[in-house]
Amino acid sequence: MAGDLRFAKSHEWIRAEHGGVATVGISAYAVEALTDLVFMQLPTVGRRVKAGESIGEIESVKAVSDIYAPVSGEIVEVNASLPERLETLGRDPFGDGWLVRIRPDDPAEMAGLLDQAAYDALVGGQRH
Amino acid sequence: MSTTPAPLSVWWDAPADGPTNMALDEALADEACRRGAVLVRVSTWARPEVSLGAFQRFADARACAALSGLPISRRPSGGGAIVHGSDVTLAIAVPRGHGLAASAQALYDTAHRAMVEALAGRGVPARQWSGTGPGADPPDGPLLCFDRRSTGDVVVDAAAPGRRDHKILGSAQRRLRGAVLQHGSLLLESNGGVGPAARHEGLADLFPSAGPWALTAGRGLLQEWLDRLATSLGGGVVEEPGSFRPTDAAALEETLTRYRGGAWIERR
Repeated sequence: MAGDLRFAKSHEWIRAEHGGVATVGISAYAVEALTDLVFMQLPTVGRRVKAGESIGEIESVKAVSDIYAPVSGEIVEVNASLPERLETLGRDPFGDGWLVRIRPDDPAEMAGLLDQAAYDALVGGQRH
Repeated sequence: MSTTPAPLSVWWDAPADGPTNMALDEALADEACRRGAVLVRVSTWARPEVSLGAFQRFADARACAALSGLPISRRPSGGGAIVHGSDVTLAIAVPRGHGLAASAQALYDTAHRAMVEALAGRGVPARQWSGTGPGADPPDGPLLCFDRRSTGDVVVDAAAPGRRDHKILGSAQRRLRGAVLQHGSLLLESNGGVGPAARHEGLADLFPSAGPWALTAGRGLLQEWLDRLATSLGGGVVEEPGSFRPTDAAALEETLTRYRGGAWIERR
């Protein structure tokens, strides 16, 4: 499954789905780094976002982090129950822990993001 | 290849209200990203004021009788509410590419360890809270920061009975795209003007003979903290002239308007 993921340097992942929609989440590395999640705020359906724009916030015991849109487009679905079961993010960040579904303005924009190998190299550097 | 670490730059700012302090700290994060260097802004609050953590409920603060009558602002960083006026705020901005930005706990520990060492130099037996005892921060913890404990908080054991694990420095972060902004609050003395339930003793109350603690009496402790923090980063301290002011005054004004607005302060 991981092979079809693309990553932003700010640790969001995106995966193209059928019907011109893409699913967005945050990586296992980011979830692990945040630790002890306590609150999350997600965007509303219908909101238009630009790549790099904050689409939500997540709070852990010590820090609040912004979640950024990896591509430009329209938010078409939100994982509305996720803020009530934040443990899902740690258990399944690339599956049930998805955050939003977005309809990209330009699907080709995803090609400009990091592939799995490049992202692994990025976080490998940050671990050391 | 070795590189010389950039020095840590510090501004000693004049007292300001909450929204102004928050807008300046957000600008400090932008400046740290632009310079690629660790920046520190030491600030105090012009009036007794409550700052909420980024996601705390405004209604909870309004309903707290001990805080009655105090203005309320909201930080971009997390954590619990702080009654300002007798504390000093230590804003540290670290660019994302810096090793210290990789982990929330690493920055927290580095800043707090430096304070423990600085306090030890004054004979104050401070330490970082281990997080294993009672009082650990639950997911939706007490309203006030100084009623909470999380791993790495700076606590002291005062000589008087029943004063173990007394928190005197807590911090919380906002992890932005370009930089991490950490807000620390060092409680210098008891916050007057609030009810007993919101009052916490500070260094001047717990260790009067180790002072003076008031900022007006000198920067001694904080200067020592800065020196130790800079040493741990492998560089020195550069004192910037005057108060911190970003070059983009219009952007600062826009940010300030946001922090002053009800949409931000009462966002939750």
